[in-house]
Amino acid sequence: LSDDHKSEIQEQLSGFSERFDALLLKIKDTRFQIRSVENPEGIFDLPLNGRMLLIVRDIMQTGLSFDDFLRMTYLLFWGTLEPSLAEARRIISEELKSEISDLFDDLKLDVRELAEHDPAFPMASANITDASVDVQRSIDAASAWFVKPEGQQAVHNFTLNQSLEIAVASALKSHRAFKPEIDLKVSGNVNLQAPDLLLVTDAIFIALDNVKTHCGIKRDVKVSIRCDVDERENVLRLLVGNSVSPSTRNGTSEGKLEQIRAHIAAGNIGKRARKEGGSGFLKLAAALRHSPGGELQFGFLSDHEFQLSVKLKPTEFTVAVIQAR
Amino acid sequence: MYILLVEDEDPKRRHIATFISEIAPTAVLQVARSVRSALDRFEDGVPDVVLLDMSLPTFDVGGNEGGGRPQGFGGLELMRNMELEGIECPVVVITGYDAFTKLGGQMNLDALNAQLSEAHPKIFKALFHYNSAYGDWQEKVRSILIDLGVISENPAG
Repeated sequence: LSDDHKSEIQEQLSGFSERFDALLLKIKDTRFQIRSVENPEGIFDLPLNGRMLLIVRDIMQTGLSFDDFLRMTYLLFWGTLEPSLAEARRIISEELKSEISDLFDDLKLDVRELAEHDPAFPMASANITDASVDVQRSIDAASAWFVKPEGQQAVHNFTLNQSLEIAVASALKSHRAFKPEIDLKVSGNVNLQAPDLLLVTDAIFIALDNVKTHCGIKRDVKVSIRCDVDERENVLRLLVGNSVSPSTRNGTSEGKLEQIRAHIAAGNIGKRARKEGGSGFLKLAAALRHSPGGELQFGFLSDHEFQLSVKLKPTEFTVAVIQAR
Repeated sequence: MYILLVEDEDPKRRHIATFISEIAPTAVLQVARSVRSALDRFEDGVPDVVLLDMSLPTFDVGGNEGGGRPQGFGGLELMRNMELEGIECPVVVITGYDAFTKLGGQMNLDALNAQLSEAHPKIFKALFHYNSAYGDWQEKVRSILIDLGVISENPAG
């Protein structure tokens, strides 16, 4: 290699280092932050709002001891934080890993252009590939930092009946003036952990919120809630159906629903989920994205009926079980 | 059509899988991340083609576990095992390396290509260099899959 080419390679390596550092800094400074006005792209969010307090209150009414209550608040804390942790793991192991791998590939290409015919090039290129693989393995290790600590994984379970009762009671308390006729039927012998309970309460809250806001009926609104479990597939199915005024189903409402379905299908739900402010379906889709096997469907069954369908795989029980009394 | 992609590096695997889904949208693409998991896949059926990385760990890496450091020639081990077990299906090697270290020396891709052709004449079909920054490998993979009859020239096929 000529001295000029050696200098150019040195510059390539320096440029690579700068881009590598800049990429890490950008992700750290914009994404790995607590979400706030200053950091709107921040992924860490802990929505401990009034509705969460209502859920905690209803959980307490299942007859917990004070120790159980403390344990439960820890579990709810981690359950509420889990979507942020899952997003952190996804950013690290998908976005960051891909971008870093591309940086290494670009570097190999740049060095190849200058030194392809140098006898040392094949080993230099192999060493760059080795470094890329090593960094990707380190990234995998960093992703594991965002798994909740073992000590907090102690399990408190809720029966399906308790879960649905808590979800319906806390949702109705958030809508005091709203008194639909609710027909609740639950079947299935499965217990839910805190993160799944939060998903179910979210689904019921969003479903009832939509019924109240969009059904077009002032009185005697009928809501049917069915929850069962496909034990063979370990899938929890939640169906919320409600009566609607015939005028509710029209081109505008169908168009909006189709638009929301398109956003969900395209995975375009992160930022929109926080901004949508309409149906809440994008928020629910965003939460279900972190649940293996999570699935969301919604739409008019007829001019008189709307239905929301949620499927999720309840978290496997792997740690000591403490039954709710 | 059934294509088995054996690749442990996530971004490279995603690039190749995306490309395969574009040129062979109806093919069933299975993925294995290690030598052992690839061998397990053969129990489900023999693929029409194996797209194989050369540097692979012995076992899958899961959670915080290690799957073993990638072996320089994990791909070679898989081909040896395929022949030992009488699995005959075409293998196309796609590697991100320009050269490999062997017995303290180095082996470039031409030498590796020659070695694989000689050692595994029945199953080894081609070796391509992969770099996400350019698309040479895509055209080469597409071309060999057409030659092998795995896909047709019509992308919809």
